[in-house]
Amino acid sequence: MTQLTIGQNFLDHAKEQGIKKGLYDFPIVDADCHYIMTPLEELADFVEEPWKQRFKYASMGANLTTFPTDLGDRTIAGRTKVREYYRTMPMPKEETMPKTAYPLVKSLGPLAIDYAVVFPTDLLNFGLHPDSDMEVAIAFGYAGWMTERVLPADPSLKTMLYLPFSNPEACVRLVKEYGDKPGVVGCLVTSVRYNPVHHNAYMPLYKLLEEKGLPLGFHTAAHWQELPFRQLNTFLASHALGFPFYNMVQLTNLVINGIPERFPDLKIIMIEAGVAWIPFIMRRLDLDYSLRPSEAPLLKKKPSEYIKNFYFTTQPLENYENMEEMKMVFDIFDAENQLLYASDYPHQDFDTPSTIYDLPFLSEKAKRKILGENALKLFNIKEPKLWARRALGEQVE
Amino acid sequence: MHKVCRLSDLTEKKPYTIRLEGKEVGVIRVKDKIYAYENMCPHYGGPVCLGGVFGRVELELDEDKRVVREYVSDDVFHLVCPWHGYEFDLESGECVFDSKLKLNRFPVTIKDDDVYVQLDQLEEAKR
Repeated sequence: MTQLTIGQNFLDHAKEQGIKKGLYDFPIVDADCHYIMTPLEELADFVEEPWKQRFKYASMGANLTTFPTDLGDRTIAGRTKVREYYRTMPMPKEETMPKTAYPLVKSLGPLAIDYAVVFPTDLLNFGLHPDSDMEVAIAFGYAGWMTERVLPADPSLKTMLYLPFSNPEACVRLVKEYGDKPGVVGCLVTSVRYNPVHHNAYMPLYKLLEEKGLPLGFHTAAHWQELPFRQLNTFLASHALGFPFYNMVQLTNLVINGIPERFPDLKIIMIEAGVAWIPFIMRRLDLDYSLRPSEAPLLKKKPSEYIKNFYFTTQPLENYENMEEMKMVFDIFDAENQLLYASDYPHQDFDTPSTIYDLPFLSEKAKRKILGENALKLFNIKEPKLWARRALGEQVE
Repeated sequence: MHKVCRLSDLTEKKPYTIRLEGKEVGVIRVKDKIYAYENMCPHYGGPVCLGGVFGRVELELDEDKRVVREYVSDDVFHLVCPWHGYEFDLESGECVFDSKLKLNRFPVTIKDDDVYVQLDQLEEAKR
């Protein structure tokens, strides 16, 4: 008889699901997962003064006041334990991996995830910081630290670089300097911000990303202090509306201003808004475009036709009682080819690969495409290894 | 019947969760009543008995339907899955969000200070 604990057994069931369902037998790519806190003192090694000094001593007091964060208790007053498990995972003394990434890497195996596109939790709302120079400094520090210290620590780790979107020229410089580094599979704009994505200043960035074949992700979040959301009195409501809201804003500006017409080979990913909003925004934009095409002169087809070429991530996958309804949603945006599995681990609403694998209307082929093959192709990951099998005690080379 | 623990091993509202003969069970003591549930959340298969027991959060309204206060029940308790926060009524095992999702409950017997659980038989939950 064994007593079970959060520390020792939190992900046991995920691993058992993986074994039972054969999830360790084909590549699974997690298009969006996270570590929690960016160690600014380590980023100091990759920036110039005055930022070097500021980052080096941030842990003495400035950490908490550096990153704009959303309000709300993700643990629901201690009800969800994933952060407890993540934060209290002991790291062996001989381990050389960056402390912030260790619990994520150790969790990927039990989740049967072979490749993880990791992004920092504490940068998700950094688009709200009023100091553009600081956004640029953190973006470059993060890119250097991530590509030199974190990604080399484990072959399962990949990243989409944080773009300092308040400074379009700095975005271009960052892509030129770090876009070709090993493990970089794309670039990412945090959607909670007020920089219109169709501004002329961003065209060199989109052209460069298109030329390099680097996907451009838009990672949404909630922002309870957004003016219309201030009348919501629960995190539940702010979270439910906020995540699709910001991606709707970014997607709408991209489509209506003809960015896909201007850069037809630019791959765009909308991250962490689930899937239920996609049919809504397609129909809504088609309606308004049909009534006012003169306001979108670059469009050569309906907005929904452009949206079908966007990529989307699965999490948080909504609950559907009627699987026919869910299948219809998947069919509307060609999920078999355009959808990428994402766990969002270790956030409180994380999804295991089973959330996709258990969907009864998907063929085995479609499941494998959504869980891995679509992302392998999009992120140009050749000859994938089944790194998760290391959690089964196997050596993977 | 399997002896799973002693009564004195149990802390109020803190599930004591074990793996025994390939099955996982959480034994929960609340107000001198003992419950045993299978450690399997019907949502996504999370380890529900590694979560906590919380009094149900309720809202008190006055006769004009205005909110008087929010409070935590001292009579109705929820077992909450630590993966995603799905809440289950401790008496019925039913999920608060969707009663079709239900925990598996095992019969419990107390003899002296020992707690026995019958793992090969499911018990119809009450409420």
